[in-house]
Amino acid sequence: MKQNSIRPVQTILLSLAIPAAFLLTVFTWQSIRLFLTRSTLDYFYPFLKASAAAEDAAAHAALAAGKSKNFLASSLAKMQEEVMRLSSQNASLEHLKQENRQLRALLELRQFSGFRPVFSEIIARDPMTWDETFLVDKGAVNGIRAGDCVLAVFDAPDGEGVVTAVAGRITSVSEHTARVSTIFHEDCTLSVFLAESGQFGSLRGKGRGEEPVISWLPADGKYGRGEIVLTGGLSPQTPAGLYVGTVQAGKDGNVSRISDHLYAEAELKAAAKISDLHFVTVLVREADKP
Amino acid sequence: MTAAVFLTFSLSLFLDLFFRSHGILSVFTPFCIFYYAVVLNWKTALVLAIASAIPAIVFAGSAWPFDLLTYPAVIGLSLWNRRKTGPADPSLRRHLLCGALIPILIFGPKALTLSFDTFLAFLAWLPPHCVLSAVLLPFVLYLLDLFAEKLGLPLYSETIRKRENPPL
Repeated sequence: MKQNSIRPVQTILLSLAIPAAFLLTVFTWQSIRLFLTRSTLDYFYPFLKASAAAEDAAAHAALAAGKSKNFLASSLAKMQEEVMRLSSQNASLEHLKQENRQLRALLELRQFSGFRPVFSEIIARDPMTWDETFLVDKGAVNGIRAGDCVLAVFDAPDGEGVVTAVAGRITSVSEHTARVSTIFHEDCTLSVFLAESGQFGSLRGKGRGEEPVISWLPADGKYGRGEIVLTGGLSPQTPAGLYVGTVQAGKDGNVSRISDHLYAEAELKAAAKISDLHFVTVLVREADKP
Repeated sequence: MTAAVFLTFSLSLFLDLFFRSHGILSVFTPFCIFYYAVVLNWKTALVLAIASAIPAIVFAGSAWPFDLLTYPAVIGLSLWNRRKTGPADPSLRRHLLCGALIPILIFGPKALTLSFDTFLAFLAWLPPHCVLSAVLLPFVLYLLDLFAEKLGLPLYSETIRKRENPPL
């Protein structure tokens, strides 16, 4: 009898508690996410590194397996195997060649006064947010702080050589890892300078796979297609003059459009091509050195 | 039992992290939730689903905690599968269907946040992953049963069989 009278109370409490918990989670999610990122990433750091190490081990094993086939070349079947082996090895070497080129370019980064480059490897990313965010293997112990600028080496737009450009910014840091929001992510904002028109603006990612937008440009400015966009350096964590990309025409064909009758907006053609990225360099202020 | 659950979830999270970092929509952790929802009970599976959704969200850097909703949804799918599976209905076909549905369940809500062009690309990308997941689910359940058998833990196949042939 007593149990029967308690049951409806429990049901009412549960039916109130579950939506309340859900709403609380939704409204406080950004804070919860930051807390979870800081608290869990360090716990899972060996786990994250193991994943990257497993990838390296697999790649080395694949190369080693290829080398042992050098002795198999006496018959036609064996020659075919040899051709296949060399083809696959060539593919691996192409990958290594590209990786080597990126690493060399990163090592030859010019020194920015007051900043120290921290070389990092991408250790985790998700297919659904592939171009927008990823995790790197360096964190607060290496001096990285939220807001630091992230650079990477990309193929030049003309297809010849490579170019070092801004890939994004650090949005959260744990002891041994850091989360990078790329310039395509909604969380990434950056002060930029348009080199030819001499105007400053604010770059913001739009997410959803769209190109970032430069807003807060003076409404009376003249902006040209292909105009070079550099970092403005207004934030103390970002040096001025880093290459970001060029201005491109929007879907309506216009280079800039007036927004709210107050300021102009232009679309960026980002130099960053995030999909094939493996290594990045985080620019850490010397003052923040641990 | 706790150690076995911890080990399987750790391994599945590791595999998901590894494959997703290579652009593959892997769903090993939801497979484990699917398994334990039958072998244990839905309440324990719910705790496991939420506990495993948190690292998944943190690893992915998702803007919204879809996994907190989609991982527990796998329990519903698992229990539906268990309820529908009967002696006259071969369960493998339904397991293949569940395996194909899991990537849609896990990644579908996230895909709604993509732009139209990216969403179309995602739709084209999804069917091979559904087929792979459909094939993998029975295989993973079999492997988990093999592991459980070695440790003398309750088996998925036995629990389903009990459902198929309820004791008189």
